[in-house]
Amino acid sequence: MPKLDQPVDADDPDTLAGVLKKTWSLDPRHDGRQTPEFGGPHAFNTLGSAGGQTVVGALNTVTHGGDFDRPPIADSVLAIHLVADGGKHYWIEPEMTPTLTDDSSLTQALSDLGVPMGAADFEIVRDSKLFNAVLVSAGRFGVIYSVILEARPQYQLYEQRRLFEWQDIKDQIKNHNSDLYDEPGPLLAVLSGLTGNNHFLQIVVCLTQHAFFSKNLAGVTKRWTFPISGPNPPGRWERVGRKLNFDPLIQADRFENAGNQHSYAGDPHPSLLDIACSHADFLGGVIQGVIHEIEEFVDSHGQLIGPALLAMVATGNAGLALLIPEFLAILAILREIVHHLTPANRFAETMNAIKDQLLNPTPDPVTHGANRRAAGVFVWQLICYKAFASQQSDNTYEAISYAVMDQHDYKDITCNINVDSVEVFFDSVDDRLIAYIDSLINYEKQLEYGGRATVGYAAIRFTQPTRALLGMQKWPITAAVEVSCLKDVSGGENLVTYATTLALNPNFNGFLHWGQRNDYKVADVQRRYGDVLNGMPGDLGDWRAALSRITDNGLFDGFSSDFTRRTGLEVVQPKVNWVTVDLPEATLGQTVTINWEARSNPPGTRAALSVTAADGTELRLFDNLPLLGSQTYQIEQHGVHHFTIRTSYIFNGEKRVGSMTKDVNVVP
Amino acid sequence: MTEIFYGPWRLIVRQADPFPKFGFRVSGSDNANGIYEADSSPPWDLMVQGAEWTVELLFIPVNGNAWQASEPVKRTMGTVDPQGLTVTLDSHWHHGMTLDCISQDPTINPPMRPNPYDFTILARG
Repeated sequence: MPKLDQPVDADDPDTLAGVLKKTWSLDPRHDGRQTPEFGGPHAFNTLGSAGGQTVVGALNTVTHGGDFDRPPIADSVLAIHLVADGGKHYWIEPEMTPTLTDDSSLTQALSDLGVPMGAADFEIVRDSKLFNAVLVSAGRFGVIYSVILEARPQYQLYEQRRLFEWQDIKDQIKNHNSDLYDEPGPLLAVLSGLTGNNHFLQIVVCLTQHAFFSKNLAGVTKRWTFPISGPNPPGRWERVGRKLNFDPLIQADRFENAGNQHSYAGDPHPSLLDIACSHADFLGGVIQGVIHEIEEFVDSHGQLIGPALLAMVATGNAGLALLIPEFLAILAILREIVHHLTPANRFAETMNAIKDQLLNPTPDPVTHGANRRAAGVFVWQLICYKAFASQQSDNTYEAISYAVMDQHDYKDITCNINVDSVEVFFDSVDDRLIAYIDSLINYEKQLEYGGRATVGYAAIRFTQPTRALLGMQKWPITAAVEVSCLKDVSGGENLVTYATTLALNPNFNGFLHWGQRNDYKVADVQRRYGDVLNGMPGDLGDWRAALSRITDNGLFDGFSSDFTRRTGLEVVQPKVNWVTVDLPEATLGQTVTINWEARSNPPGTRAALSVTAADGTELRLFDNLPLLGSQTYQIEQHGVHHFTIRTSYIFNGEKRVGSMTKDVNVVP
Repeated sequence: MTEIFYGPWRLIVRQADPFPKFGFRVSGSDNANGIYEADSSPPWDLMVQGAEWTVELLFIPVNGNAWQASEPVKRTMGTVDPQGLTVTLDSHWHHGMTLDCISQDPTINPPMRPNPYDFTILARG
């Protein structure tokens, strides 16, 4: 397969540019001329910030970045090659004029690849609803064998991160004309070619408070698009490197630095967060800083207050000075922790050890541990404050697009591996968004009031709506809140569970990411996406109709899973394909034969034949019939007889019925 | 405009103009359906239960004698000390009325503890 980003020209037939030139330069719509934008390397329009995913895995779960001026990755897909249960191949495109592909060329190309071309084996479908359903489908439709992606000429991004306080910026989120969404690039960058205002926004909120439980740090990251700077833009070498051998496992070439390096943050050295997630040395520096400020405070009897310590307090009764005896004990603990820190210590494990020692002291018999617990909570907050401020400190850099957008640290052995997270989507102008974050902050505050704590953050990113029927991005600008915790720090999973409970509660009605922790049940999905079968018309109904088309109304259930059944991503409505009666008219005593076929249904569907008179009186019911069958009935009275085949299917405790009726007129 | 709520909430009239007459209607609840006048004394402090129910702010206009819907209503949701998760409904008629709706569901609004700490220093001049 050709690569998106290769610094070669369109004359190389192994590059994407080469393929496009070969394909499109012969297209009569371009008069045989090669359109110049097809030359050179190309790139994704947007990406999620996490690597370690397959492209199809990312797009099929509507993974997104923080580009609020464009939809998520799924919307870059132009065509899908799907292999469904039963082995049938589908080439699916949205309806567009002219069509994206030429039928005969496409058929030839796929036939050359070994795809069988019989009518039962292969079908080209140009149907936007079906395309929008398959686009995000949790694997329920089948295997997505390949896709055509829209790419754009390679570009660079300029990233700027600044540290704020959540309480100072949260009200700007509703205002799409605020500086959060509409800031020109820095002057120096503009002089170097940067154009336009920021198109990316991410706000990372530290859930641990400071300023005597009144403030939270928030790192605000923005990005601007920047023209590519020469043949070797920053980040390309660090994230790609030299070309190595062809790897049959991935059916592609390996590259020296692809998938095995720290994230790129503007210089050859890894970022502080990467270091923190690789080992615990970073934490040693943070704790040393905390020790220094507390020592100053203690030694000066509360007179000398360092900058971080000052950020933790409010003015009032000088209650902090009463904790000095407890600080002395805590200093000894912190020195001991630093003394035993080695590069082999994992960040989260070390944080958990600190938490245990600071927040679970043996109660003092006189004070019952009240001051000791207060001092422990204070120092815990101070460590979290300094660690978060380091990780989200002011930073600017520019690099090739993927080096900025893929912030995955492939050398990470702790943070991302041992992270529990849930991602919840809201309308960015809905005050449920702010209330959701503030509820998480309140949860952590209540933990600390009780002498407990965890390590967590909430990252908010913004994106435009998706065309995918089951996409979470439903509003002009959708806000995605990712709540993450370190699993190795006890209590973190409770935070994520609380975040999930909040999201699922109908008073919040948050939409859950399909690719992260997802506790949806059928009713949750139906409430959010709607199905006319449940009295709420919506996209889920269209999605199920598309699934019905591909799976013969659920008969092919090879890709049904525990997850799709729990969430209701299934065909739920049975049907009857046909019913016949051998006599349109009959006389008393004659026998009528009824034939039917209703095999296009989910396994477990049952069939019955009901014979009713013209007034609706049921004359006979034949139950437990096969889905393909025949039944005779002897006529015993005059008038019109209705012969109705009913199929019934119970899903999630709810019975749904399909039916088809044929009439026989009984004459004297 | 009706506002939809789910589960148990406590409704407290924070303030209401004496004139014109303000009130609110609860519908679809398990225990508290009806119209409540905002200027009743003492002010309403109402527990409402139900899987899904609605609140509608009302007023009786000058020279009128029937309740009408108060429009528009400003709805804000946030966490407020000390009660926690709160939806505030504000009528915009003159000063109108303000109704605080406080979640009583411990799974989304855990019981609030008082702050037991004193992380303060003396003011420095």
